[in-house]
Amino acid sequence: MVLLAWSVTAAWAGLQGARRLPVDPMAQLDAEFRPFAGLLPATGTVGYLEQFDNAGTDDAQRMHYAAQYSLAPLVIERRTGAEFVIVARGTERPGGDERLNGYRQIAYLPGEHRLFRRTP
Amino acid sequence: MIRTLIGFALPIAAVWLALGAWDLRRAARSGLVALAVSFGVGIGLSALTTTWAVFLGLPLGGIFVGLDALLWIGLGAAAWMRLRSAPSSAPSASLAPLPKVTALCWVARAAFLLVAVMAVSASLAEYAALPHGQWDAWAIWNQKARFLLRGGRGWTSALAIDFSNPGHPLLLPATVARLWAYAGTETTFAPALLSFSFGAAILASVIGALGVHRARAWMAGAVLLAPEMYLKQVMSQMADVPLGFFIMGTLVVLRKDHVPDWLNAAEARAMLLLAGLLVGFGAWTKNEGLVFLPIVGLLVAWTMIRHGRLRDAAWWAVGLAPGILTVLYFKLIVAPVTPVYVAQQEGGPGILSLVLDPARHAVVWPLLWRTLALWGGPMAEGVVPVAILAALGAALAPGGRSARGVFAVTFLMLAGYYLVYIITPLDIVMLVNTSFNRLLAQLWPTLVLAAFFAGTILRRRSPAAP
Repeated sequence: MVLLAWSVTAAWAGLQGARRLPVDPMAQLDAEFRPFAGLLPATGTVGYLEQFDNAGTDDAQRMHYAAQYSLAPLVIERRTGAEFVIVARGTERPGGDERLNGYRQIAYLPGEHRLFRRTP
Repeated sequence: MIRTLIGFALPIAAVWLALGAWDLRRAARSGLVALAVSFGVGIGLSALTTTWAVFLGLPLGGIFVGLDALLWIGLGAAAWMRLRSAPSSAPSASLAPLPKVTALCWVARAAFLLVAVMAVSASLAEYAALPHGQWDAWAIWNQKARFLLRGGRGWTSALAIDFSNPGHPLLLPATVARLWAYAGTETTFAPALLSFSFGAAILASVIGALGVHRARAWMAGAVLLAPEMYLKQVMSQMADVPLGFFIMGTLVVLRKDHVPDWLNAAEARAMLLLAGLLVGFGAWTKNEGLVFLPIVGLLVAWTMIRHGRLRDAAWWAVGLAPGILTVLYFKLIVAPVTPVYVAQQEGGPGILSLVLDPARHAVVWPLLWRTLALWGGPMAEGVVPVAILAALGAALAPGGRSARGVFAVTFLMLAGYYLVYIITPLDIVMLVNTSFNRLLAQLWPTLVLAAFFAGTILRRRSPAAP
């Protein structure tokens, strides 16, 4: 009886915890990056501008991983130098980022993410 | 959603019929366990056919879906015809008479129902908050499913992504990709359905193995679902609970609470074949399945020697083959990548020096103990040490054969994980903090099963007991 009472109590506590879960931003990020697929080649590697500061934080990582999740089977590498570079919101250094020298912006999406392409 | 459900149900129904037609269902010794095993074997086999379709360059489009559906409908039809033409088999004389359902059993069932309703509600709430699953679900498992579905022959570019662990086995991504192919869209319902179903199959295995007419089966079900940390894993869309099912399914099929089953050649072979299949699928689900393989191999060898059936172990190997050959092909040919948590070691002497280094044990042991003691979530902290003690008690009790087997395997699995933490080149604290909770979720069901096995054995040994 003790065991059963404990099970019910613990399950109730678990249910309350599940109800308090914040909504994960992944669905939103997935939808934000998806339009890039129509502007990029079907396969290959695409660059991704690393956040200019605090690049190792969970939020910065999530943004990069979300781009990868959304745009598979492209491989999204955290570097510049590729033909296309994704500049997610908040990753570019304010006032101009020299890592984007030699690139021009070719698309701007509602989620404030941009796509750059190397200038010929 | 309907098409996802069709893709989900086809292999399970076909395997259910096939197990009946070829007299393998008896190995489950319980309707619920048979259903859970049909689910596991159906999902496992369909994952293998999907994987090999992708390996051989067949895109997961309409042609694949047509061929896949034909395969399962064909198998189901063949099994159905065989079932219809075969004389109905007499009930097994070895089964003990069912005990009377007691008042305690009804109370346990009511409490279980309450817990199950709350668990389902919590699962739905988690799905609403995290439709793409927890972090590793979208960063690793569902992402790989997208590569398999969208990439065609180019799916191997997924292996260039370090953070998604390229060497991880593909049972889960292949199954999700297969369901998406049926659905015609990448619905989050598919991985969520799969995640939930593996949790339900574990529950069915526990209750079925302990006997639906016994109060302790429903108590075990309630205890299994109670910890929040376990439930979170059930709906995480990650591979830990699926692996937990394959571990549980194997141990339930191999349970030794009824010795006459092992003395009957046909039943013993059926049990070994199914157990082999489930172990192979476990190895194709997560790398930890490769830790389970040699450990359960020891259990099988011990059981075979004890019952003088060493030659029948070949049936285990036959069952093991599809999963293990796929794992070997993947790990040796497609993605020869050593997992980061054991990579960069200097071979035997280097590993031995790490194992003998007391400083590493002094770091790992307290970390693991703290995680283990606090695992469970609100109102459930401390359940693991209690379950370990209860399982140990059941294992040491007279007639606790099944509990001994399950507990020994669980203990050796924990020891295997401990060894990996000792030899890892990664930051130990980071690795333990990011993985041990999940590893405990893999083994929580087996601990619960072992803890509740004792009474079942005692009742069977004592026919006079109510």
